[in-house]
Amino acid sequence: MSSAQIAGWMGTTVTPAQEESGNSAALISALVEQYSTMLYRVAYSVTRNASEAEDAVQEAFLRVLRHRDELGEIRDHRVWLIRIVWNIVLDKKRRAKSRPEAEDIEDFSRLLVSAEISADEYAIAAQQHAQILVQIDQLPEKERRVLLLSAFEELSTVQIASILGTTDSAVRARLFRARKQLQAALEKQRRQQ
Amino acid sequence: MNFVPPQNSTCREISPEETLRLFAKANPPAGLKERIEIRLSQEQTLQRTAKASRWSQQIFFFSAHPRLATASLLGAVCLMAGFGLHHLHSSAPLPPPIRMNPGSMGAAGAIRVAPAGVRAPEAIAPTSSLAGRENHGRGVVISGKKPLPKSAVVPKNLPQAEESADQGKK
Repeated sequence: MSSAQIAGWMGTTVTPAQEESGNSAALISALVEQYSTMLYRVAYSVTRNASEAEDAVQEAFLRVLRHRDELGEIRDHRVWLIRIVWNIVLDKKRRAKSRPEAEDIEDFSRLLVSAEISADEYAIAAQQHAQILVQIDQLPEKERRVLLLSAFEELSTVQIASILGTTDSAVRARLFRARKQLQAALEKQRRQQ
Repeated sequence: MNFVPPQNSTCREISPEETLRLFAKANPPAGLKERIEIRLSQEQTLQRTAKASRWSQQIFFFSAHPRLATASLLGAVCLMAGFGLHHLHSSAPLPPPIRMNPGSMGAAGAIRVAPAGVRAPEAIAPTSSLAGRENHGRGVVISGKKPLPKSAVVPKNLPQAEESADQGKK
């Protein structure tokens, strides 16, 4: 058996496996086109850092590539992808060393663009948003996660429950508690100021 | 990343929902999709290269060790031949019984067979440890038919033979 014979076996025309590989590649490209922006936003809501959020989205699609055989079995690709990127950013956050809070706020403040407002108004708005973020970060973990995901109007409580691996009623309860605690914390902060 | 707050934002307190909505409306950096596609195509190329290098490593190994390759090939051929021969022998029919005239040379060691066949006993107690198998031995002819293999099960109702096997022994 010569190497040429073996190479001859490899030099065949498109096999069914190769054809299936092409179909999955097209599907992954479609998923990138459709969901990459939303995945970035979900990742950013946790990382508060643009480059880390982009890394998380890339990692999510790499995992999709590695598990492309399962694509046909997934009913809701959006929820599936969000769950992947959500777990990635939570893992990164757990393993990352604590970063100065100022960096996060600086990155976050880039979300605000001063168009028709003065610099003072921009600064005040940025400060208020930063204070709210601090209070959000001080919420209990379960309530905080539900609150962050609730910001995405495309996601229902059932879908949020699927992403977090819990029930719809638990999501609703946590959301109610989160809003109540956040409101109380912000009122207390404003009274102190 | 373009969020334009309302004009009167200085006099107004911003609600937590507004802050959260900033995340939901955050624009990703330019070229995100293109960078993802590039990364995915790099990963696919890596996977294909890894698969091809596994093949080339095997080819290189056997070409660098021709004796090992030859020995492996011969071993595989012998194994296949052995399987084939075993299958051939196991399915070969049993040789027919030797018919000898009583009293002739070599008759003592021959199998005595009645020309018209012998009547098989109705029930044969198994002598071996294999329960459920009825061993009739070679050369037992029933109604002139060919002898059955050892593991044959003999039906209980059989036509009576004209001569019994005992006559051959006399």
